[in-house]
Amino acid sequence: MAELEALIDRIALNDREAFAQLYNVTNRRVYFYILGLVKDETVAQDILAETFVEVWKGASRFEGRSKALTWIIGIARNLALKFFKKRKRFENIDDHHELRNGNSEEFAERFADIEDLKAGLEKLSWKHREILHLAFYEGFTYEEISKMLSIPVNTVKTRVFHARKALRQLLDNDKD
Amino acid sequence: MGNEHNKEKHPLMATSSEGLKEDNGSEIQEQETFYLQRAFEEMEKEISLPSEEIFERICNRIVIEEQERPVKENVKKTQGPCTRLFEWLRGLFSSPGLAWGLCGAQAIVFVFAFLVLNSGKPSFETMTYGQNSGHNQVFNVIFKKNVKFGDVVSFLQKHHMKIINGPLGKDLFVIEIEKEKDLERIKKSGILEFMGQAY
Repeated sequence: MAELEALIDRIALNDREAFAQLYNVTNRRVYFYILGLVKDETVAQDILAETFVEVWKGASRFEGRSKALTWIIGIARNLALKFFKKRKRFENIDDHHELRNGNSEEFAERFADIEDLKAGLEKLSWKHREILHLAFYEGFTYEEISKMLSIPVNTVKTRVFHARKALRQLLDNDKD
Repeated sequence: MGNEHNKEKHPLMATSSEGLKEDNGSEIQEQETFYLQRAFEEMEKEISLPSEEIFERICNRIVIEEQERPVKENVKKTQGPCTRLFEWLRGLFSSPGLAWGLCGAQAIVFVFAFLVLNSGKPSFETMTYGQNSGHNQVFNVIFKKNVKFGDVVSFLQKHHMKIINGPLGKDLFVIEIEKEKDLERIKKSGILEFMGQAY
């Protein structure tokens, strides 16, 4: 991953080749993240393009205090939130339908069916899907997620807990 | 599937597990984590990659940005000192923090001015306050401290005088006296501590 930081350092010196490399290495990852939030390919592609323009413009400001991918995903997230604001599609995690029904028992076996799990993840609210994506797929620590989302570490933990619970409930309801 | 196997297959598992142990160290949760990672991996593989056009679009945007940047910098360089000062002031005053600061300062000035102006006003007004005829003599006077209110009233009535302002400062009153009155007699009445022409 240190390679990504090195690429950003080169981009800060207007190195186009480094920029192309960074794009090639990370675009799928970033695009997948954005798509998970906005659920629309065209919008996700627009945000992806904006994200990398911002990466180019802001490379000199990257101080390496966070991982390069965390920084890029953070930019993508801010742009996705701007999109949500424009479309006024903010969802309130607390009153989302996922949490209304079902029980919260452990259902590890439900997760074993990957196709069901994928369907469940698609149905999750964007905030829940995002937190699971960042914590379990990108492998960011709670601390890193806390900085990226500008929320306290405890809120990250709570959100992870609720996201898992919501996912279990969705899977449970689907089986029924 | 054992946890060790999961960790070998998914290096990310180690990081996620650390967090999980803080919440609940159950094996079930670790298994869930493993399946979650697999699901995300498969989902990522299934998405169609953004087209080549996107990268071209990004590159075009960057070219445009770079073309605009020198123009903006040149504009800044060609600006005179007055324009740059104006720009600087505009930037300064567009700061919300400064705007609120100025609002606060103004509020303090208003309150202070209100208090100062009010403190100059007499604590009471006589019936004849402001009734200056304009054709009589006007004097500043201070009554002796031990003089009674009734004595002052009869003194004023006796000499056909009226208080037209005061009390100001150290119990100073402005009185109007008819021109033909004997000022020396008034001064020596024993009621006044001070008497001087008002201008």
